[in-house]
Amino acid sequence: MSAEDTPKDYSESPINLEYFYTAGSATTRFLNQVKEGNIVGQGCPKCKAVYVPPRGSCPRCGVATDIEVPLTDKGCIESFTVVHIPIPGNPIVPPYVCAMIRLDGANISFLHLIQDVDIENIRIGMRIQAVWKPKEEWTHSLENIKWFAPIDEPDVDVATLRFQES
Amino acid sequence: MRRVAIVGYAQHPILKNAGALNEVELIMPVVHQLFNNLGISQKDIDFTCSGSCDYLQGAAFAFVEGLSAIQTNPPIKESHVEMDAAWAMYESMLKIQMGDAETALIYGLGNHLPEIWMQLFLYKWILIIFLLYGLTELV
Repeated sequence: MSAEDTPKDYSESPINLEYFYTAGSATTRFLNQVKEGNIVGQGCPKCKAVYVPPRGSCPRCGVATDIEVPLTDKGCIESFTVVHIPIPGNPIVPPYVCAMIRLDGANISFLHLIQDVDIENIRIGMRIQAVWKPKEEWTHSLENIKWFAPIDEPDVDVATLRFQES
Repeated sequence: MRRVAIVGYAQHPILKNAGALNEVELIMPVVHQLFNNLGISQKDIDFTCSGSCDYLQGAAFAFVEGLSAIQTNPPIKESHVEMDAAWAMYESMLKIQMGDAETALIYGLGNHLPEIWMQLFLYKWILIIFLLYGLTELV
């Protein structure tokens, strides 16, 4: 059997697709504020839970979140993981830390990076603040925040962050 | 076979362009309309099943975000088919016939392919069908 006749196990055939993402009106309001360097969550009119980034609804109550809630860029690490495996196309060099960030006044957390600190010192409950890109690079994205870095404030007991029905 | 009835439905208008609405904003008003018509809430639903082609839309697992449109606390029994409301209805029918549920909320939704050349000849469409099976045993 010649090389040409040998059955192939696989072949690589990369494809490229471009999509438009429909953020929705609630997330659009949020992203317009992010472009200006503000983080504005949305609150549930029934249970008062604050969502950031908002999708426009409170899944707890099944109603639209129509209350705008300005938040700070400070919060704490609710959970984190150290990434050791390089991801193709990702410019960040492992090991690096992904964390669930709980901003002050918010009732959900979102994923972001933690830097400017030795990995072994990162812990759950650690107080952190956003490190923003230069203003001229701001777009409609949470990537306006380069990463979160620790600040000199006492740790938070994350168990106290559990949502309390008011 | 258990006898099953459709006790209510609601539908979003099918539009060429529904504007910049995300899954939550498409689903929630229709669910509320249905529940208001029937005077019930999500707590009256045993099983919720949705159908949508999220991969086609370029937003894999968008149905998970769409679930935020309905009340999911306390936790609900839920499923999704990577297809449409008809398949969601099939799964729900099985659940009811097997005795696993007495009532089901079914919805399907779709968006145009948000890929630029497809926009030229594919309509943005959204169709949400809610079929609630109020179950009546054959007397």
